[in-house]
Amino acid sequence: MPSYLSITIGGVIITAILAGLSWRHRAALGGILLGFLMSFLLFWSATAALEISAVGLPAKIFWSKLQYLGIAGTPLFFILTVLSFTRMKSWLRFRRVVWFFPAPALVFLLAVTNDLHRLIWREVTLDPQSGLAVYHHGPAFLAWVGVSYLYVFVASVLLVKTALSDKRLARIQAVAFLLAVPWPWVANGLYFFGLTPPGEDYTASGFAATGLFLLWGIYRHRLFHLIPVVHEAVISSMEDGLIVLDTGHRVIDLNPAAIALLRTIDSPVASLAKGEYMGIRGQDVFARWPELAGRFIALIPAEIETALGEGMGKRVFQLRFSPILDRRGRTTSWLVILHDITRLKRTEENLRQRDRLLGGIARIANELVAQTDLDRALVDVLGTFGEMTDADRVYIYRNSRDPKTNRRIMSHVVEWTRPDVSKQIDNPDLHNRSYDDVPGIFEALSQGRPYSGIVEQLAASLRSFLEALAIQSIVLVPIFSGREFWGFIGFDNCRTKRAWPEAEISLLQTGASSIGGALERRRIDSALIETHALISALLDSIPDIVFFKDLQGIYLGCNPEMTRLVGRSRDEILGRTDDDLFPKDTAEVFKANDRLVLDENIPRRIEESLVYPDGTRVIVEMSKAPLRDKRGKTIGLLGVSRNINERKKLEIAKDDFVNMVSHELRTPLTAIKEAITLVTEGAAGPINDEQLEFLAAAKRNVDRLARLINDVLDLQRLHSGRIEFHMAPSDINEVLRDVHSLMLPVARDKGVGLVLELDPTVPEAVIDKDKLIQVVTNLVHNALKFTDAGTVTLASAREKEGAVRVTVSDTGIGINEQEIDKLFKAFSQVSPVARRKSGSTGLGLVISKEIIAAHGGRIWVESRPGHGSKFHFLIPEPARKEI
Amino acid sequence: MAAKKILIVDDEPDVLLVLGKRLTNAGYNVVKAASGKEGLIKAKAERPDLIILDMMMPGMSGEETAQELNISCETQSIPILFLTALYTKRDESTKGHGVGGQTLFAKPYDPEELLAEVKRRLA
Repeated sequence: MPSYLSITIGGVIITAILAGLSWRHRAALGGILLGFLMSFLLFWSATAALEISAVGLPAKIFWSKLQYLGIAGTPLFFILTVLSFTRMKSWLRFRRVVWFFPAPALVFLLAVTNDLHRLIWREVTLDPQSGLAVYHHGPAFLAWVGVSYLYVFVASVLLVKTALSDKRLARIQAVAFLLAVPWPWVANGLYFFGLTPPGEDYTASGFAATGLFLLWGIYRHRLFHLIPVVHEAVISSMEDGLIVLDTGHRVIDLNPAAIALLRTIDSPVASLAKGEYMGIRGQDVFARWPELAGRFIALIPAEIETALGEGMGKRVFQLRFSPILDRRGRTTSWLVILHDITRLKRTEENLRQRDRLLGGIARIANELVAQTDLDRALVDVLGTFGEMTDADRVYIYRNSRDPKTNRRIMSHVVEWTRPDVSKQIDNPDLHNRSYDDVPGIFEALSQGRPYSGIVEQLAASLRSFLEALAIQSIVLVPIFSGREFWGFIGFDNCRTKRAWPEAEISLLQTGASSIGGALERRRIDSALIETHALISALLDSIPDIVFFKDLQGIYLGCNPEMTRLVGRSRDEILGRTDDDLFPKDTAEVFKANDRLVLDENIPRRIEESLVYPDGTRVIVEMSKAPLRDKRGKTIGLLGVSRNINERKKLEIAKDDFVNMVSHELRTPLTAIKEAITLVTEGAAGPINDEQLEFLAAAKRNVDRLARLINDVLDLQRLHSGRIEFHMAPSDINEVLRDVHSLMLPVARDKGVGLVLELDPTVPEAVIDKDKLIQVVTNLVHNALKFTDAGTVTLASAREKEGAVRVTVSDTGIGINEQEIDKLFKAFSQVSPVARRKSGSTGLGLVISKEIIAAHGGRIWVESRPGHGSKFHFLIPEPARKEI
Repeated sequence: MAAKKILIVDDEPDVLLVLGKRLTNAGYNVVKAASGKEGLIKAKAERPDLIILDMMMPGMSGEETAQELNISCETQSIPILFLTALYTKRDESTKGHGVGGQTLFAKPYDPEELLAEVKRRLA
């Protein structure tokens, strides 16, 4: 009996400690539930101890009833703890967990109320020998034992499963749990089946065993230290190597990664297994790298980067030495982290190389753009290529064809080499070499694909060729000038078997296309220079003035004739404006004319008067045209002058001649006419009828001659533009009315009707009224002349776009087709017979045509012999007038 | 009432002859001058009521003569009719103001028109 009590009390103490530990570690996985479990266990064993030590049956029964709180709670929290521990989180939802609660709650309720129904125990007796209470259990107790065994069974299954599948320390924890759990139930089973002395229930005592196993778990395998567990799992699965040294520089721990790394770098102790490292000094582990070994001797906080190992095993590490301190800040041990940064370094190196390449490519593009001498630029470019790559030799081959065999050949044209690499530029074998000797290369390069390889892996024929030149690896990148496969740029490595990364080759291709562009440009440039030379020669030899200006009037170009006009050299003219080069008045005229052309954006011919520095005055017809770029945008003004001095002189001479002739003819006519008139009038004495008739004939012909002279003079003036037009808005109908009233007497005399058909809606036109009256009069005059019967009609009509049409139609003899063509040409009146009959000069229609043309209109005729004629002219709306 | 005096200035003797005859027949007192210079002298001496002046003459032209006449206070009020073989009748409106707004007759003139204008000027 005393042993029963002491075992029970021992259980109380153990469960109390466990409960305390559980609460302290409640942050761990399942920690809170474990705390509850331990608390219930503590309660159970404590109440059991109190029941044992209580005196008298009622007191014992009281504690026994309380004891049921523990009995009911323990299986419940056991299963919950296990669910949590085994990560059966999905089961830990309130909806599911709630079903675990009714049975324990009911058992506790029944135990407390047992006096009323006796379902838990039917009766209790005191064992006379031990003085313990002996319970005769009822059906509810049996049911509860069944339920709680079921709980424990399920929990145990889960634990076993975890123990079998989980890794490392978590498994050991599960095993510890498993070993800890069953003892109370074994004890309970012994009690239940009466295998213990009467009244001695070792169920609670089983908890002593449970506690012991848990304590073992806690201290040996950190049962509650789940975070350290995780830490250790992380550390062992870390890729970084970790080595822990004690203050005596000896290895006390290292992770699998560290062991693997030491093997990779071929450390002197690489063959050791994990356990065997313990106690080895750090400096011995890294004995092959004296500098690093020194670090392990010195042991100060540091972070260093170092390369370890050889060849393929060569790796770059970042090593961090950091002290591990205890609570008082004393160094207890040292942690060395080996971080493998080989890949990072390689990436960095690749990036740097790419940067170097990109920078080089940009520099090459610049060199080629800025070049004036491509051949020299290519030498520089190869140097840049060499510096930015690891190549030992960079060179350019140019394609051509063998003049005899017409086979494709290549020639070494430019080369760059590192100082210690042999030059091949003068190697005669590499000149006019056929592509047939190096199979596969032409096929790749001519299709724009680079050719690269490590020489010893190439086909035999190519390999022997390249090995003879001590080349280990090679890249050839084609150069295209336009679409033509021009040649290639090559890169040799003579000391390493360099496998060129694709990214680098594509950059080399960019560089090669820069070279191709420069070659293409040189070709175009030389073509341009030829064109330019041609144009320059053309401009220089043109006797006319040629210049071009920008929109601000600044001279951009001119020819020698222009320099003669200005009296300055071309350099002095270019960049200047008219204001700088000409007197103010002249400059203003030029600028006004320029503006006219640029504002209207159409070419114009303008008469300009120019004075050369020697005082020669020249009249030029200046063609000024807007200068447009490819897209049609006006960017300046082009001027080409033609010296029309001679033409002008001729015109003036002609004018003078015509004036002189007309004067010389008209003056005598005046005297003749007046004399005839005087005699006719009888001023010189009486004359008979026959004399009168002859004098009348003479007078008629004098008048006709005078008219002819007037018409010739008019026409001359119209042609030379020396008749001023007085344009003003007027009603054309008024013109027609004037002519109608003027000509009505003539028509009546002839017995021909003269009819007005006016369109009242005709718009006002801008005209020289007097000159239009002259035109219409002429037309009506002609119509009357060729019409012997019927009517002459004067009509106006509104035409589209604001134009006005005037029509003079007659019912006369009409005109045949050939004659219509000649009608408006000088001295081509319809027929000599008609002319004689009409007594006209034949210039009336020509003059009319000139006048109408000066109004921007046109004149034409519709006629058929025998059907009369219709003469029309059209005066356009002022704004639409052609200039 | 004395007959009006008309001075004719023309370098063409035939024109002087026939035009003089016409004006004499029309009842005018005619004075003739064969050049601009002579015209100026006769104008001052004879004080005609009207001058008919040929524009194109050797030496002093009609225009110059007219300007001289205009300057002199003795002759500036005398109306002038111009005769010209240089312009046609159609030029009149445009060229007339160039010679002081005087009437211009193109040669060969129409005798009736000329007489009518003379009559009008002297009215």
